[in-house]
Amino acid sequence: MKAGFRLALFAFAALAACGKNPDTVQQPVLTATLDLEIVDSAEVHLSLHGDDLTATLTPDKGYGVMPAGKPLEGQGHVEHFPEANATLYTARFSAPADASGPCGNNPVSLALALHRDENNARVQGSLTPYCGQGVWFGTPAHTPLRLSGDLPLGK
Amino acid sequence: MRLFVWLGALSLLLSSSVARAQDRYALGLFHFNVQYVAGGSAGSRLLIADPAKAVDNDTMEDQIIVESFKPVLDLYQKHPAWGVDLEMQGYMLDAIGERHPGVLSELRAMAKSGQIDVVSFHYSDQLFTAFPQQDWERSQALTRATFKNWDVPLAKSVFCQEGQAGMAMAPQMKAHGYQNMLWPKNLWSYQHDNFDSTVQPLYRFGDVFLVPAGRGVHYTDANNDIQVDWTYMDDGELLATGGNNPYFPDQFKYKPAAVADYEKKLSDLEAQGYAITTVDKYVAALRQKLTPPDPPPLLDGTWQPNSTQAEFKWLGGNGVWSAFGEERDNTVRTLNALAHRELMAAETAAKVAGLGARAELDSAWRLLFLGEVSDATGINPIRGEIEYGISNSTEALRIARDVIRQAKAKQKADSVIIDPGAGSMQAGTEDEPMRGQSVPAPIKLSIKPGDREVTEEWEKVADAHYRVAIHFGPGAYTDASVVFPGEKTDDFVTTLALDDSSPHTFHRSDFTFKDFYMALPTGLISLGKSRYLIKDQADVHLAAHLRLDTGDIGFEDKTLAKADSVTWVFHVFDGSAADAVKLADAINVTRRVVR
Repeated sequence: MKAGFRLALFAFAALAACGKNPDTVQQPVLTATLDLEIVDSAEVHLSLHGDDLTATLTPDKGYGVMPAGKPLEGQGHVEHFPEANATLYTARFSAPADASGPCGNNPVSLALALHRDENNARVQGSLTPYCGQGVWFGTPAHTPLRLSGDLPLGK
Repeated sequence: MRLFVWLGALSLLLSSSVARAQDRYALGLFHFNVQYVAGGSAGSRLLIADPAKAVDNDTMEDQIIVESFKPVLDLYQKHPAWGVDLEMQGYMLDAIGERHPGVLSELRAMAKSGQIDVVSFHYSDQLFTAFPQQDWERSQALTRATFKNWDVPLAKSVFCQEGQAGMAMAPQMKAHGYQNMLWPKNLWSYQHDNFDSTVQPLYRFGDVFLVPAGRGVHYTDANNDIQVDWTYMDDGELLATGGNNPYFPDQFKYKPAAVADYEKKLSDLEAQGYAITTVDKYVAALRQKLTPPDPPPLLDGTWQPNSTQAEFKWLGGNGVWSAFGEERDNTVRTLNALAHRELMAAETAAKVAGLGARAELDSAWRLLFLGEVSDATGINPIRGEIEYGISNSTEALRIARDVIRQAKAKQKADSVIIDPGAGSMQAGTEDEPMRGQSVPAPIKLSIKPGDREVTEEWEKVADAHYRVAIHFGPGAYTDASVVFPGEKTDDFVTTLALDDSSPHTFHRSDFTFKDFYMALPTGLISLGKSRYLIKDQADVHLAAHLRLDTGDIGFEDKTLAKADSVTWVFHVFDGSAADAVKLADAINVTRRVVR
């Protein structure tokens, strides 16, 4: 139910981005396929609402901490570092337990953090899994999964 | 009476003969690094012919422990009379403790018996000489806690990743219970070409001691004849594997014959009367016999400055894989610096708001230590290592910002000004304090942008304080540089690693190198008698190129990303050294921010 609600939010944001509703301020949607752990990939969609965002991430490999090929959906923020002309996109995802993974029968919390310098297309960062629901710090269940690639800002 | 005189003479003769007997010491330092291929070897171009040989992070760490560390440990266990120094980051002890309990038990027993010394100065194999003191303070505290957690005694000797060493480590060593600095011989001889002809077996190092590491010495005086040989001083991973390194996982295997060769070498030395011992026991013996001299002035650096151009390899210099456009020294190190500043702000915000965020902040600091790993920018980083540095840093940054967000919510503030230097957080906003009014360039820079468009914008921040932003657009060239004109003086001033609060003055005439690349942990170096240059390290964190024949200071990045634009920000300040140190602190250590 919660996931469905988030999907609807994403769809609304995407619709707004297409400018279908003239009464809605156009919100940017950033979309790309990023490299995941260098040799795999993840589709990433960030729908920005001011300094908040809705994120969807679909990895092609799960690393025992998330289901491969299934979208993770979450909420996050656009964090600004004006003194360094840098931006960090963050989001929180929840994934079900994977008994074969490092968290065993515990669900997994995954934190997204993507860094952008200036207005460069390139972003780089992490998807960090923690064992347990709603766990956003501590010793990660896996070294932060590496994400990188071009996520253009658009026009 | 006559008998008394005779006995006295005999006693003198015997003591003289004992003192003149040659004292022979065989020392060994195994530098282990479980982050040798940080993040694992996925995507490594070294394995391009057979990518299936790549291993993930934990498998790589396990392989280092099993194939290279345990065989060395076993060798010394077989010879209880032999001592040795095994150096590792605290993080490696965590990996041993969590996944290799048998190795931990063996290590613990040998360390507790005093046979071996387990040496550790930092939790991660981080480039601590390039970052503020606070990062190392917290890293060392975590290391000490890690050793306590696994019940392994922490040795009093110090050797560091990349052989990093600096003069200001001495008081920190004393304050943190360390006693013996192993200063890499090449970092000394690179700076003073009379090293080989003047080397001593032991030096004072402030209130502790310094041993020239890796350099055998034969020392004699009226009372002593001391022979010191080094049987090993290298990456520990290479001994038991016959020189194969972990970048080639299928070849990085324990080779019993290699260990047997080394065992024979030590056995032969033992038969010749050498004490195969730890550095700590060696120092304890020599300090009773000698009056150690002070070393000459030495700059911060690493153990192979000839091949790495001091710290340039980690801060702008390129490695063999840079042709593929993956190396990004400035991206990694500026991100480290940004995370440091955000964590300092988060610490302040949490404290002011009364937020119980210790566990969050500690986990973020730990990630930053991992992100500052030296191998993310040098010597020849593969893409996985580069992104290991980035990914650990972005997660540290995310947690720091999350803590600030919580602190703001608790204070019911939409916007806050956080000043870590003052320990304050107050609701409100302000213009960026390190910005000013646009002005013409007060000094002429020499900029080489390659094929990139470049702009140079100067601002006056305050009296005698200017800021310059050098913007490079995208380009096909991966190399750009800038040189700041400086007055050639004999003196130059900087801060040293592990001492952010004091200006340290050196004299060009004391050194014999032609040039030296310096990390500048707080970004500060002088441009003359009363002018100082400060990097804004969240924008530019490249090594400063110091030369003996000019007062100019240069910076170069050979690892620029082709498609990216980048802006290097520097501050130029005229005033006293003490005020320059305070300004460097305000820019890079305790940055005031609006959040």
